[in-house]
Amino acid sequence: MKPLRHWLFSILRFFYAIKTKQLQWHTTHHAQQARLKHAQRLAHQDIIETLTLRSAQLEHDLAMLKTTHKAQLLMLKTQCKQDIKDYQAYLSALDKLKITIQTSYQHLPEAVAFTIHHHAKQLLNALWIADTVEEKLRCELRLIHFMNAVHEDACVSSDDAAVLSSLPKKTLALLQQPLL
Amino acid sequence: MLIKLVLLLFFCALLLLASADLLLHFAFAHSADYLTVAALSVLFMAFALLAVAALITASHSLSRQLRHFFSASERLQRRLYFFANKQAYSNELFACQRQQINFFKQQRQRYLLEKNNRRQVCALSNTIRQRLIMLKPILPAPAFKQLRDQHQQYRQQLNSAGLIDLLRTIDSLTTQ
Repeated sequence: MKPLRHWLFSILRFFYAIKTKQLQWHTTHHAQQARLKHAQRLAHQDIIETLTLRSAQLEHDLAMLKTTHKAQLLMLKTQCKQDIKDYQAYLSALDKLKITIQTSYQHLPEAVAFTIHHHAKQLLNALWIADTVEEKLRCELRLIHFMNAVHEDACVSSDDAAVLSSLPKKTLALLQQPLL
Repeated sequence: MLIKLVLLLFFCALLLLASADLLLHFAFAHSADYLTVAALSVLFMAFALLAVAALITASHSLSRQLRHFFSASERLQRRLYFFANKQAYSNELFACQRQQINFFKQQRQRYLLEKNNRRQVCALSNTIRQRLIMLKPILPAPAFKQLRDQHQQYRQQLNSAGLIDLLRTIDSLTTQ
């Protein structure tokens, strides 16, 4: 019985020794543990503050983005409406131009009048499908130049009765040029 | 701690079973029965304790996960992802809306152009028809038929350039 008791006591002593060591470790490292916990808490707070700021920033950016998109879409819609109106106006102007040239040059073959109108419409379509601003500007200049030539020819014809039977030379010269 | 206890109970049960086996070997059958029952009870307790330990561990893990999920940093992180996604969606929507507006603009322009083309083709066609009627007595029948077929074909195709060329041809035939 005695060895068993001795054995039990030695086990208990072993447990107590472990507990004492644990206590000693806690006592020595208590300050460091407290420091670490404090640092951890601070870091956590720091992360939360950063995330809050970033979230507010993103929310603000999103609101700005929505406003910008709304404004840009509105602008695009207005621009499209204006473009369509311009296109319509150009088409009517071309129709009128054909009528003007037909009335100014009454002996002008109808095929030529239709060719002038067709050419002008091709120039207009080139202007419409142009991708870059420079190309658009060039096409627009060509169209305006062509329309001016037709108008000038029509004016010359109405001023001078002798040229009634002749042809719109400036316009026909421009017709010879390749489209683009 | 619970796991340690479970292991202790398990070893105790094993010891008791071994003792019961030993007693049975030395012909103490009655005591061996008692010991076996006791060993089985201890083993059952060990397993019950193990189940309880598993439940406690699972509930701890669940509560830790839930606390982590609803913690301030995680909530803010999710909010950030939400805004980032919303921004991406907004950009995508904007691109689509732009595309849609441009598409409708092109459709409208095509409609206007087709309307104008149709009107011009109609005028051209009327002129050609009149010329053809004038030319009918002069031209041989196959040539007239060819010109008329061409006229119909170009008119159906709304081919202004073809009709203009045809008118030129007719004009040249008239002058001849």
